[in-house]
Amino acid sequence: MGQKKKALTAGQGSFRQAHAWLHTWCGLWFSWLLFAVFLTGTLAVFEEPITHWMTPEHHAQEQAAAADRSVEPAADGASLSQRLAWATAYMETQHPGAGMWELWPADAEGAGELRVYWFDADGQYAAADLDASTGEPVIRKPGQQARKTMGGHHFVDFHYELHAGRLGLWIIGAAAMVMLVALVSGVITHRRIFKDFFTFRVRKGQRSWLDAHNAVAVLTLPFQFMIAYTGIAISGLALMPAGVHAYFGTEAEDARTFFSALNESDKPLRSGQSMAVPALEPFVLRGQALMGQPVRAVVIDHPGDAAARIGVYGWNDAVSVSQRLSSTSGMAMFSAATGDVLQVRQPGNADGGTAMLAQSVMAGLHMVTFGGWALKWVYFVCGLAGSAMMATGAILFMVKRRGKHLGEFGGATARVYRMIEGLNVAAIAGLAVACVGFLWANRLIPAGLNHRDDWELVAFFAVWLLSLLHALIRQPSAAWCEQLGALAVLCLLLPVLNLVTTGEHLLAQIMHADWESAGVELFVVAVGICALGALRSLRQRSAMRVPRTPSKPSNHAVPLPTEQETAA
Amino acid sequence: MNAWYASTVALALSWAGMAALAFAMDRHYEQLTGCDEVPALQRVILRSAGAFFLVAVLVPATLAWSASVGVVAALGFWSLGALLAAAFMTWSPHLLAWVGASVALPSLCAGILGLTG
Repeated sequence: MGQKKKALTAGQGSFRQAHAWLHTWCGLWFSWLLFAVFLTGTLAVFEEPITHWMTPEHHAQEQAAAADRSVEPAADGASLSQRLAWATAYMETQHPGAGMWELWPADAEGAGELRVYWFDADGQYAAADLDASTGEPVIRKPGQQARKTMGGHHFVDFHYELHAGRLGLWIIGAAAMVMLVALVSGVITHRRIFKDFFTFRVRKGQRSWLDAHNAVAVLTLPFQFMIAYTGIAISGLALMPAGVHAYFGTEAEDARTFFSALNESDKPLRSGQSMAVPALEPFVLRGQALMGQPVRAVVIDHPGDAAARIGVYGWNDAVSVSQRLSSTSGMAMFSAATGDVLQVRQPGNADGGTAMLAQSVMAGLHMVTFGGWALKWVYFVCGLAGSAMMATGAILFMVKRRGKHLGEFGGATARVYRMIEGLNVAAIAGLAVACVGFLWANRLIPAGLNHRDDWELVAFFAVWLLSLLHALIRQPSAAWCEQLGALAVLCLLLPVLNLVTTGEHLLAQIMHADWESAGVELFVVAVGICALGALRSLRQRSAMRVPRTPSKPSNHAVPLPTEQETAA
Repeated sequence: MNAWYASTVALALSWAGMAALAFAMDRHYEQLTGCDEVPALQRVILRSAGAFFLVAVLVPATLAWSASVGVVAALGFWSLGALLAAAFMTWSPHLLAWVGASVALPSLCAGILGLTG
């Protein structure tokens, strides 16, 4: 393809050339979206630390709770039977009409908070906290409440549905399919996949970009295939709804019928005869013995009815859940009237047979529910490599065309190239700025504001949109420099902002062993330093370039590209 | 085996294995020694050692977690080891050779200790 003057289209040339075409165009048009999905998905690995950093009001409480526990282990609140009795009494007196109770009596050690959930009259999920040593409902004063924020869940939501519900899920599903196509065609296009396995040549312009693109993709290829495939598989029911639609219908009600048939095929119907909820402790003790886990939640369907059913769900312990790919907990289901065991699920198994177990394993593989912190870090690095694969691919497309027009878009080529340059800046540097901007918004938006969590999202999208406008107005090289500069400033000043707004700083976090907050800030600072480094090398290169080609930013003092290199 | 300990051992083994495989290739052997071709015997030794280290990654991974999680973890550590090897190959092939050789033996011992203990 390199030696020919005009660009080939699909179906022309050899098999490899056809795949090069496919890889170039699939890759280009989806790289911006896929980069966003990958970067936010990678951050989503550390959803909990990010949420922790974003709710500073919790930090003091958590430290106090940890100090309490180290002084008097498990002497926290009342016994299990007392907690269950309080929860039952609260529900019977305060919410007698609820169609479902979900009581969370204690943590895995029998201590901790006592919390109840239920479906209210409108079928909405509601919750209340009870004091673990008196059983009285806890009324939180406004001042004690944590700021309302999506926290790290923003990154989870964005990376699989773009905050756009079902439509977003479909867009991401299509992008993930295109990514699988691009991975296969990329491997076919890559002629020297083994010869170049460990090759990364620096400061060689286009060749360096190609080397980087190849290295991060090929060396983490198993991860990239797995994450795209499992991502599609998790949402299989939403992305391939034909089967459910054919058997159950297409209405929203039909979907509910399907899920209750799938998950609770033997859920009893309300009998109409009333029967008080029996004492729960005997059920809980039998359930714990059957599944081998301490109780996490007691779920009562149709409480107050003779057909009531009592489900006892277990706490996964950290060690065993880190050792299996499926992260489901144990469960034992009883009839409230007779006390018969209706169903038992061992930890790690799934209701609904092998297909549901496979689904659970796919979900575990995608969300890295196993392996603890070590595997989270492995996923994080591989996810960053995947993001780098998208970014280098998109940049490579333009680096190749800065020196010479390939004329793919006829008379509009120059304008389309300009647009692609701008989209590259906004999608790569701009998204990074928006992500750290989201953290800034968390500290700057007043804690008591209505819809505060929505304003944080508005800030995220506003920063991103501004970066797009900026990238389309400014010259590409200037836009890169300015947005990388903004990224560096925002990242490096984040610890300062945190100190000014909450009084917390890195040293104190480390001294309190608050590794979640410290990790978030250290990573953000590292990103800032990388952005500075990138900015410096960009400026050096543009300084070198000026004497030769004062107006046009192009540098082609590099070896002529080979066939594979042109198929970027 | 403790998860952090196992991760360190797995990463070291994978790094060393990938470095050995890389130096069995003419291009990278030349970066290290200046000779443009790997002698046949050294190529065989480097390749077998590399393959052996990479298989050995499975030992700490399965000991720390389980067979199923261990395989996933080993795939991840192979990727990280390869990324490290490629990065160091660009930065300093000599340092890569030193690091690869010096982490290989202790981590192998750690793996064997884990198996017997």
